[in-house]
Amino acid sequence: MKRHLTPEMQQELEKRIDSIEKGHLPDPMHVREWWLPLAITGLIVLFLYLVAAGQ
Amino acid sequence: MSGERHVEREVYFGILPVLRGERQFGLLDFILIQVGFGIAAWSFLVGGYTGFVLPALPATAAILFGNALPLLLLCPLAILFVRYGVETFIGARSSLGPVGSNIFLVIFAVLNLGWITMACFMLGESAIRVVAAFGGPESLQSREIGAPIFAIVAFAVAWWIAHGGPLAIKFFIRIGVPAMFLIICGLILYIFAAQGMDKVLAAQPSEAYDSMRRSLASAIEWNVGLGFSWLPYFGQWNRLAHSEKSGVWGTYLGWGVVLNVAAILGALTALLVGSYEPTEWMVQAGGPLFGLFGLVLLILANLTSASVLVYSQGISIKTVFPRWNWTLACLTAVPAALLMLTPAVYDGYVTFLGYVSFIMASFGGVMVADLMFVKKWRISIRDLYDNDGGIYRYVNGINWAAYVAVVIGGIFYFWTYDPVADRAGPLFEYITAGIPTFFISAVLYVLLARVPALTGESGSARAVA
Repeated sequence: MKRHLTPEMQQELEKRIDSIEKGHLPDPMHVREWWLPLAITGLIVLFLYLVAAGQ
Repeated sequence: MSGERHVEREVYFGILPVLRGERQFGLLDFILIQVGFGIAAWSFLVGGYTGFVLPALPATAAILFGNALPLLLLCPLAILFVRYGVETFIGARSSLGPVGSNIFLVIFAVLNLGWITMACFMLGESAIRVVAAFGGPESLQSREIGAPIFAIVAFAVAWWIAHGGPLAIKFFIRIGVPAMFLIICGLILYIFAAQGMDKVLAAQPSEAYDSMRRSLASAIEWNVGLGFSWLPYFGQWNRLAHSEKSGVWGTYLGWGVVLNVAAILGALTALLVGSYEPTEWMVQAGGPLFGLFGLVLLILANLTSASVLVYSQGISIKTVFPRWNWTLACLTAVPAALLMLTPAVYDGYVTFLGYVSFIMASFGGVMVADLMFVKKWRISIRDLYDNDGGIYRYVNGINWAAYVAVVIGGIFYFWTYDPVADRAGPLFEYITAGIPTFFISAVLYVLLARVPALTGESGSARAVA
């Protein structure tokens, strides 16, 4: 991929990779923060089960 | 163009990783963007088809389940793209290999042509009804001549907007998203004020399958197809998220939950009017004045979505061929115009969804399993950009373990459900097809990733230290 970039872009890419490797990353997501997607999906599955059982 | 502007352009056009300080989207921005892009022809149509085979409550449950579960399953990938600020097809090099990722890009580009066709052809359908309302020429009122002409003209406009880049898209989204919300509000008013809740709940589907179980399984499968279809679009938005939580929650809530509002309204209206085609029920439901207004909004909304799709394709192509100029990258979307020449592709929407479901469920299963269980969340960004793939070189640039798992997942899918003939296998009514395909591909991949003949000896299929 790098070979497809201009020298200026290759230099910029290196700078960015260095920055990311040094750990300048966005805030990480903690395991407990999965509660919202899991809870909503759980409610939806329950809703589907109740509807299917009622048919 | 100054050096700084050039770098900025390359960042937003997808090639360079986006650094922490350059991220633009918080949670709310994220949900709005996802919904703005996501609510279009495909959500109204999938809702309409669902309401065609199921009564209101099961239709609602099928839509919610079919869209939310695939998004939950795919969401671990959002973390990869947010963390490293990379686009889908650069991130996919870690699991598929550099050549394997390019093959996935070609598959995406072909399917993307189908989605562009859906948006533009629905716009064409809306336009011919507007022409009919004003007593225009008969040829322009027909599906065979008028709709393709309007669809292709719309595609040319969408292409031109997308060619303008993210700023033009942002401006257009400001028109398209409110247009969508006006349509939805109008439908809510129609359903609750004009019809009443009791009538909606009692309405029976006009083309249900022989058994309720089969209707439910088919409707879930169509919605699962839409849910998994977002996989290739994950990277381009998540790389701009402020935090991993914004990316995961925004992706799940935007595409998995909020988007369903349009599909549910499509289903309820289809139940009341007996048609899955929004351009048809818009006029039947709203009468000449409101119906015409709705059609104009539908035109705007689909134009917005078509522009975003062309832009997405251009960005993805640019990530693999950075030296291509932007015009050439956008021109790869032009074959979509051929698919708009007849209503055949548009009318085959549920078959199309079946193909999308099996392809994206298989690839999604492999990519998620690779990130969580093989790479254990640790990716080398330097090797993602390496000329020859670095530690992600695999065997001649392809992770064969991934592709074998994808193919076996596909065979299982077609054994369970044939979307062309709409033929269900023995298990389809109990487990459907797309979701088990995801799990089968994922489990197979984890097992096959231990076979060096398939993954190479470079340690490609292991986590970096």
